[in-house]
Order: sequence, then structure tokens, then C-alpha cells
Amino acid sequence: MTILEAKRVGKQFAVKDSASLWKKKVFQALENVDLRLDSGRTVGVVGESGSGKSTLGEILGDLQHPSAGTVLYKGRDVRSLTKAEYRQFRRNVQYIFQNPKESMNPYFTVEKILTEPMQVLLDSYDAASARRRAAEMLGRVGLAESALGKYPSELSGGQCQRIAIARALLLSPEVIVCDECVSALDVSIQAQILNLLKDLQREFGTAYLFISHDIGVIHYMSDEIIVVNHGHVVEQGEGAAVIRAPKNDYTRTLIASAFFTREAARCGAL
Amino acid sequence: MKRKRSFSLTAGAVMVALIVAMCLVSFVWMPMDPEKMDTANRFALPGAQHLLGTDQFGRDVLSRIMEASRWALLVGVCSVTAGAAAGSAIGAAAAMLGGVLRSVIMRFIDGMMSFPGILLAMMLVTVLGKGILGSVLAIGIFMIPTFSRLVYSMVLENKQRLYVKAAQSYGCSRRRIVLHHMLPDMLPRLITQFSSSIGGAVLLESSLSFLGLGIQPPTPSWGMMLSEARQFVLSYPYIAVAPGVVLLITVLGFNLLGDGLNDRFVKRSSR
Repeated sequence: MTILEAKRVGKQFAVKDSASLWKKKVFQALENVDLRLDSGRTVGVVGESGSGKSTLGEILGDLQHPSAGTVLYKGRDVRSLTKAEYRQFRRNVQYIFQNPKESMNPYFTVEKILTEPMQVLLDSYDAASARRRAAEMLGRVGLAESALGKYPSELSGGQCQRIAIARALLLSPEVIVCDECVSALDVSIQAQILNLLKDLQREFGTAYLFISHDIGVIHYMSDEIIVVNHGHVVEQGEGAAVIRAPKNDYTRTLIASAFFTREAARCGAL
Repeated sequence: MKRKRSFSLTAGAVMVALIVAMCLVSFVWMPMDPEKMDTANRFALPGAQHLLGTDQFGRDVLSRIMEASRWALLVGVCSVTAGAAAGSAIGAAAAMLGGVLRSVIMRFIDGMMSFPGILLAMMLVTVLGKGILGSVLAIGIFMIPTFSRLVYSMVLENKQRLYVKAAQSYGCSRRRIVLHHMLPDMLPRLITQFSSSIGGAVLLESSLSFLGLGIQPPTPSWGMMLSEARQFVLSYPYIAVAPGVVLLITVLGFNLLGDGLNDRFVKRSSR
């Protein structure tokens, strides 16, 4: 089932023109992106930093408004949802951010971090059962229940990212936007987190929008790949096809550089 | 970790404690009735009978200072509380709303800030009426810009944090974001500002009373006592010295306390 759909979305920012006192220049962050997120599938967005891929992720979850095009949630324009429907949308579209530690309030304990979204978004909220579910979910992402009483500063980056994943999953969302969610982690922990995400997807049938600059990670995770460069989609297609037979030069460069890094690492040059 | 002992914090706390103690004692004991006139004993020198002497009507200066401390602290705390609450709400709203409304609110606040404090307070008292309520409201309104600018900038700073974006992504309302996610971070600076502002408020209240716009006789106030003593300052200087010194201790105490709290809690936690 199609949950989220972007139809020709674009985003412009007005930036100050250094040559003039009042004129503003238009910066095109994103142009004409179409994509569909179906349950149980992963769409990977790859591109270098500044290419507009995070903007795309934020537009899909209505954290930013597109300046062109529409975002459809189950076939309906997100902007036209009623208040109750919008709450459902918020619940069903969750985020895992790049820097797990910074995505959690340092003044909150893990328990509060995990239960707050439920408190805000679920109609039938009670503290005791929320705590129980949080503890269960911690086990599911490979952390001990004792973590509930800790603060983010007492946990490592990998542990924090597991908590961020738990926070997203606790709402049983239909879509999770993973915005560079493993980039801040060590390579060994990256693999653990990616596998965890894949297992959970199999279990819950969640759709992922997976945003990363690392084409290796994207290749590992995605059913469909979108390559963006300077706000333009340069290539879009089935994951294996894009990697095996890239049609665009930019995609080829990305793949080649990833291959180069891996080879160099193997030879001990890096 | 051993914290460096802060001189301002200790000195400020001692001074504030002194004034607060004086205020509390005044409820159970005062040397004399502060409003009782004794024309036979006008301008009595400080001594065993009157520790700080008597004024032009023979009223005991120490008793009057003690009673005035209640009003000074009451006006100081109430006005700053009101100003802080209103100012913080305005600042947070402006920062969270953005757009045209933000500019309108903040330019208005800037406009208020450009008035000298005593002038603004005098204008407000003229409109709101003399007396304690008038002073509280006037000083409270005077405190609004300070707090709204402070909270405005802190909310803008906090808005950049990733956890605020995360909170937004799971549906927290703007109100909830400010109260639950930003407030813990802002609290130390707000408390610091609160303490320093009380010093300013007490001084402003005394200025209004000095001009006859604040607390009205026969209720004593430090500013009024100074103003009355001014006429006799050449012949009987000691009547003016005592309320002046107490006012100095209060204002200095709250300012030092604010500085000390700032050193202790704000600078330490800023990463």
C-alpha cells in the first residue's frame, strides 16, 4: 500500500544577494521530485551534502513546506488533513536523525524520551503501560531495561541511536524517515544498526525513506534508489539496477568513489 | 569537582538574607510604632532609645526602615514576577510564531526599551495611579522588555537544536516545546535575571517614592524617607544615611546574587 507520495515537490529558499541591499536571490534546494513510499519497502536517497536530500526528507514528514508540488498521505494532500487525521499522520511518519545524541533532550531521561511521543500522540495513554512498552522496546533494539533511568549523556552514540529507533518504533509508524541515521556511528555499529532496521522492517512492515551520502549503505538498504545532485534527481530506479548499470555520470562517480574507498581500506591505505 | 568559591554569590546571599531577615523580624518585633509621632523627640541622635535616631516628626527611623523593607520586597518581588511572566510569554510567542507578528512584537519591545526606566515608570504610574498597586504594575511593565528579549533570544537559540525538531516531528505543540523542551535549558538564566531585576525594581520603587509617585504616606518607604530627609540633610545628615545604606545593601545584594548565580549556573553549563 502506498503511504506517502511526493508529487513534483520543489523547495526554494530566498537568500540575501550580497550585491544588493534589498534584492534576494532564489536558491533552488530541490526541484521536481516524485517518489512513492510503500509499506515494507525502502527508498534510498543518495547525494552529497547540500544536495537537498535532507530537505526532501523533511518535506515528506511535513517539517518543511514545499514551495512547489504536494505531499500525499494515503492519497490525500497533507495540507488538507483535519486535525485528527493530521495527528494520525504525525504518528505514522517518524524520524531517526543523523546525530542521535542531539536528537534527544539532554534534560530528559531515556524513559521520558521514549514515552513522550506516546503521551503526545496516543489517545489512550497511561504512564504505566507506556513505561512497560518502552522497556519491551528497549529489549527489542538490544538495550537493557536499566537504560530507562539514564540520561543521553551517559550513553554512547550507538546506544543513543538504538533509543532513537525505539522511540520511532514505539508509535508503530507506517513510515520512518532515516536521515543519515548511521553516518555519525562507527562502521561496526553502523552494520548492527542497519541490520536491526532491516529485521524490524521485516517484522513490522514499515516503509523507510533512507537518506545517506554513502552509496554502499544505500545499496544495502534500498529497494529503490534516488540519486540527487544539486537539488535535481539525476537517476531513479530499482536498487540493483541503479548500482549495476548506472545511466548517469554522477551516479557512476558516486559508485566509483565508494568502490575506491573500500579497495583503499582493504589495502590499508586509509 | 571542586567549585571555585564565588565572592559575589556569598556576598550577595548574605546581603539579601540580611534584608529578608529584617523584613521577617518586622512582623514580630519593631523597636517602636513606625507611625507614632513624638514631637518632643524630633531629630533625636542615634542612641540607646532610638538606635538610628528619629526624623522630623520624632518617628523612630529604625522602625520605619523595617516596615518599609516589607513594602520594598513586596513591590520588588511582585513586579518582577509579573514582568517576568508576561515578558517571557511575549518573547517566547514572538520567537515561536515568526513572520510579521514577530517583527511587530519585537519592534514594539525595542521601542519600550528605548525609554529610560524612571521616565517610563513615571508615565505608567501617572496612568495607572499612585500607590503600591500602581508601582507594581508600572515596574512590572518596565521589566517586560528585559525578559522578553532574553527569552526571545534563548528560544531562537533552542529552536536550532535537533531535539526540538525531533519533538516537532512527533507532534509536540509549540507550547509544549517551549515549556517542556526549552524551559529546563532557559531556567538558570531566567533565575539569574530574576534576581538581578529585583535589585533594579527595588531601586525603581524607591525612585518613584522619592518623587512622591510610589508608596503614599503614612506607609513608610525608603525612597520617601530619603526624600523627606533631603530637606534636613545639612543639619541632620544621619536621617538620610540609614535608609540610603539599607537601599544600597538591598540593590547591591540582589545584583551580586544575580551575578553569582550567573557564574555558578550559566557559565558552567554553557558548552
